[in-house]
Amino acid sequence: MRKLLKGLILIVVVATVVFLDQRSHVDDEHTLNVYGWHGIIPPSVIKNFEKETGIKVTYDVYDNNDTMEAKLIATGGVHDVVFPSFIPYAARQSHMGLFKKLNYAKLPNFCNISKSICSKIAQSGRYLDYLIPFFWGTVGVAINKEIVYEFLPNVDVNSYDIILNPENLKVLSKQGVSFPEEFTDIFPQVMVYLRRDPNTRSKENLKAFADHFKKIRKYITKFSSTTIVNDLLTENICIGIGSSDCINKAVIASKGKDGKAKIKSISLNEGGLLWVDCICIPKSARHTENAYKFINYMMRKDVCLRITRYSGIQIMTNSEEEEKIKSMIFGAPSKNSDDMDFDKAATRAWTKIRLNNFEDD
Amino acid sequence: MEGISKANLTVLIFGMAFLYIPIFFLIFFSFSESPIVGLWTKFSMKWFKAVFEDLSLLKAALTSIKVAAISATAATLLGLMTAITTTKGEDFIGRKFLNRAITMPVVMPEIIIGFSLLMLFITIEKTTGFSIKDGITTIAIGHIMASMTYVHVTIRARLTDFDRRIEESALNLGANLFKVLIYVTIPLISKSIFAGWLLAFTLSLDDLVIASFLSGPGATTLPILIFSNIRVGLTPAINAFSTIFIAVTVLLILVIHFASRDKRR
Repeated sequence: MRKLLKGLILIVVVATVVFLDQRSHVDDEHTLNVYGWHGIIPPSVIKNFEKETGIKVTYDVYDNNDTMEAKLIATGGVHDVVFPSFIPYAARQSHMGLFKKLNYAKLPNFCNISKSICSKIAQSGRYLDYLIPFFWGTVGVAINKEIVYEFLPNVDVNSYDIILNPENLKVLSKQGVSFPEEFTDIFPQVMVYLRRDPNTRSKENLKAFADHFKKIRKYITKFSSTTIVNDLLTENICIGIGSSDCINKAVIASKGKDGKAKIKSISLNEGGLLWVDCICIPKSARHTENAYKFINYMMRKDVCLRITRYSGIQIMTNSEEEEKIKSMIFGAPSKNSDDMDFDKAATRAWTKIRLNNFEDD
Repeated sequence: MEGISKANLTVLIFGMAFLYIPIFFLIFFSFSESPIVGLWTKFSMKWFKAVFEDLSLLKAALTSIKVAAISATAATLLGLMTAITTTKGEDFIGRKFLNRAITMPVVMPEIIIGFSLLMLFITIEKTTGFSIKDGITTIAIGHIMASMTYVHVTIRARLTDFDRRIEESALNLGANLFKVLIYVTIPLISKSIFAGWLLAFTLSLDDLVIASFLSGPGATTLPILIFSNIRVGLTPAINAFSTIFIAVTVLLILVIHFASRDKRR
């Protein structure tokens, strides 16, 4: 009996020690708490920053933007640097006053960030006061060449026509068609396809969007943003809309022994949809100076290259890409309370579309 | 094998296959060279190397185990107390109420536990200035709240079909109430206490929702980390890591099995 009691006491003691040991240096002067995704920034980049500056970095991860937003609103942010997606999160969050105003004098490496992305963001509001556009990519279309060319030999593959035209989708449906999970990843393209302005967040546009989906919903076999790589490679789908970094992975993995890739990323005449993830400093960040040092370090050319090589997500741009970005589609973020109503209506409409429920409208 | 009929054997095989085939595939693909999860190209150990190069998976696993150990121990102590109070404290007025109230967290969605605790910690910080800076503590508190009920139910089940005369004999022989508890009651229910601890440990190791709300700086648990990988796509490093995890678990089970067998002899 004593043994069991002793064992219990031992467990309690060990647990307490372990727990005390955890009170590491999260709050002294030479620390920095970063909150981001896992798998984008290589550990060596963080280690190198620690070596150069003597600042101890605690890198925490979140599993989706919504959790991050909830915590940001509730706590004001216990971290010093966060990486929210621009639309709709970071845009909305800067309207809510959740971020510190940035002092660009402390960020000389900002010159490495794409001018065209910055100007696109600046067009929709004074967001650059609070955030720096950092990671970027496109939401593009990928096809399995063999299957698509077999079923649609005469189609123009360099247009949204291939995936948004009901006639084409009808043919491809049996081979699998995948659409993104998020409303914001598909709305602007459909607007461009319907020859409407992707930046007008109006009821009419939403109606047109829903009406178009009424025609094509029955041909869509899957809504997923994360499984597109596996689905393309296993031929679960023959065409899909997804983020460019995922599509590139699928293209590389589909290369056979002859070096030819089965999967192709389509270059769209209308332009792909640009997505941007930002860097921001939350309002109640405790280590602002260190945060500036970290952000400036992250924008350094060699660091950006290392991140891109590690995760496949782009940061810097060359002049050719700058030109491409100019012609890309970029959705507009919500600006005022009317726009929030649009967000709500959009969420409702999108849920109905995904559930294939068009009855009561 | 003689006692098993053909039908029983079939059921057994299917049952085992249902439980273990997914795990087999997970292990199988951890040895694939391909960067895509679930695609076989050729044999390679590179994803095992990746696990030890980027230590974040191992660190997160260690954090998870710490949280689970702390919360399981605390939940077991609390659950043991409530179980004993609600079964034996006959002159305790709130007994029935406590017994029902304690099962509340079972029907409460985890997201509500997580968010309400987050609000509580913020309110405490705003009103008193006292803040729990340590993320592990906050997660552990959430897990204690969620898993205490299960421990309570497990131990209480054992206590209700327990022969009270044993305790009475001890009292007759001159032991006081405290001694009865330590030397008679707890040893007799020790198996259910251990089961409750294991249950709490598993629940804590599994949890994503509560942890993602309550994690503070420096506290990333394994489920949060794995889900966070979705942004760039899962890599077979997760498979490799799971394979290591399974191997360690199986090893532990084997050690415990053989250790306890020797004792019986």
